[in-house]
Amino acid sequence: MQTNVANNGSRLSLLPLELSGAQFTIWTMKNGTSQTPQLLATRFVDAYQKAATVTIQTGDPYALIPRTRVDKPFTVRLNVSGLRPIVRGGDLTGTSVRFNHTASTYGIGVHTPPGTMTANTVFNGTINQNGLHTFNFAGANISSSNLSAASGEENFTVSSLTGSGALDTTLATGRMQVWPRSTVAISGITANATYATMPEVTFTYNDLYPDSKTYVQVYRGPSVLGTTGTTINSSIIPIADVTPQDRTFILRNCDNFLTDDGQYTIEVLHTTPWGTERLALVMFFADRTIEVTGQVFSSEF
Amino acid sequence: MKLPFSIFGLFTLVSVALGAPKNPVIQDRISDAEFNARHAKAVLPYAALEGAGMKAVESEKSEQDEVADLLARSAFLTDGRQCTILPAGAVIHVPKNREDRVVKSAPSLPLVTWEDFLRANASWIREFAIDSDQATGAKPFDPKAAQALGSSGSIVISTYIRQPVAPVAGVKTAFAKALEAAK
Repeated sequence: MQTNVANNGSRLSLLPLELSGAQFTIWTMKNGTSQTPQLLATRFVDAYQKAATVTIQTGDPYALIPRTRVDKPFTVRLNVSGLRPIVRGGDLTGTSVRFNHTASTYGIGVHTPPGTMTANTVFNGTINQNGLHTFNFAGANISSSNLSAASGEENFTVSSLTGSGALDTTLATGRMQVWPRSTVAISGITANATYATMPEVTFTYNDLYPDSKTYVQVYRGPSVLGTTGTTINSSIIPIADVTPQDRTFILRNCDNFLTDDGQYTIEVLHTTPWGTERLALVMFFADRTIEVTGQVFSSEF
Repeated sequence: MKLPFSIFGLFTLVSVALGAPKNPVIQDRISDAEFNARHAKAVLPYAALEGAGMKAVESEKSEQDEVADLLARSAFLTDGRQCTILPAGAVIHVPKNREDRVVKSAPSLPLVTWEDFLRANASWIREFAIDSDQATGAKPFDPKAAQALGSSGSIVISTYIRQPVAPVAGVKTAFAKALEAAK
């Protein structure tokens, strides 16, 4: 049935609601030479009360918005209810909902959603069973030529469908932010070089995780993963933020850590909700022995 | 006498306490190349969907498709000065001499409401009022009413509560048969 509607206000449906549902669409047509209708709104109404929830679980307990790191696993749970059972040869109206999963990449070094953002479809499908649907992901699904340094977000949407299978009302959504892997560049010291005094060493951090602690430790001997060294207290960088952070730390006047001559290791450790990672290391040698080259003169008078 | 916890449990607790590492487990940051390789091997959990009541959608219905659908379902009545849009299925009967009044594509004329168009062209448009049961074919209509309308020389539009409505296809066929029977 087609009927005219006023510019605003409300009115009752002229036809009674069928059990199989009814679709309402509002169109507008411009007078004149071009009379292509424009769809203003559509809504499908049926007698079944469909509902859905989307729950995203990551390794980060941050409460405001689910967030994860690009390389970390996460789980999405969809709970769907109110779907009619599919009857062979029967009307399919109300028997399924649409599930859409998209991923958007912000860009390297960008930690806020840009004004225009392309949402790439990861999955677009229908669910025709009530109950809990669990999906375990090995890592994030954003795309980038430099994925390790990429930020972005993933969105999960469950929508009801019209009688013809087109999208209708959004039942539930979930949004998860994806942050890059942290990096550090160490400069001012050459690996395996020998130093009489500790040189000035610069640590340049990129994309430190928004819930993290990063610090430098020094210990005598070659690098052994898991060794507890002497923590440089001034190097500790605690981050409790909403986005990844860049920082710089300069290690100066640290000769007191070099207790003896020999080999030393400097490590950068980064602790996040997923545990502690060694971001980088550099080994060097300390040799503080003063060697005096001289001659012994002997004279007899 | 029952102990609050077993000897084995106590032993386990002591073992854990004694064996606890001083450091949390530390892992090396994997290289970007290794990360990319792992990422490339990752399989989406949507792989086996049919069993979970899921099915990928091949293609999405676009707004252009919706527009095409609406135009396919619609017809335009025109009097040469203005036009109106209505469900194509609502056009139940068109006399030979009125065929140019019904067109499929939108004419370049002002579009007016059904009520306004009917008021301006009441001399050649007749309403075939049906109820919802007749529209679905569940209840037959009076063939004499159809014959009276069909012999009026007017275009016949099926309406429900004075609004154009497209009944099931069988209604139009039954209408034509009723007219044929009256000849």
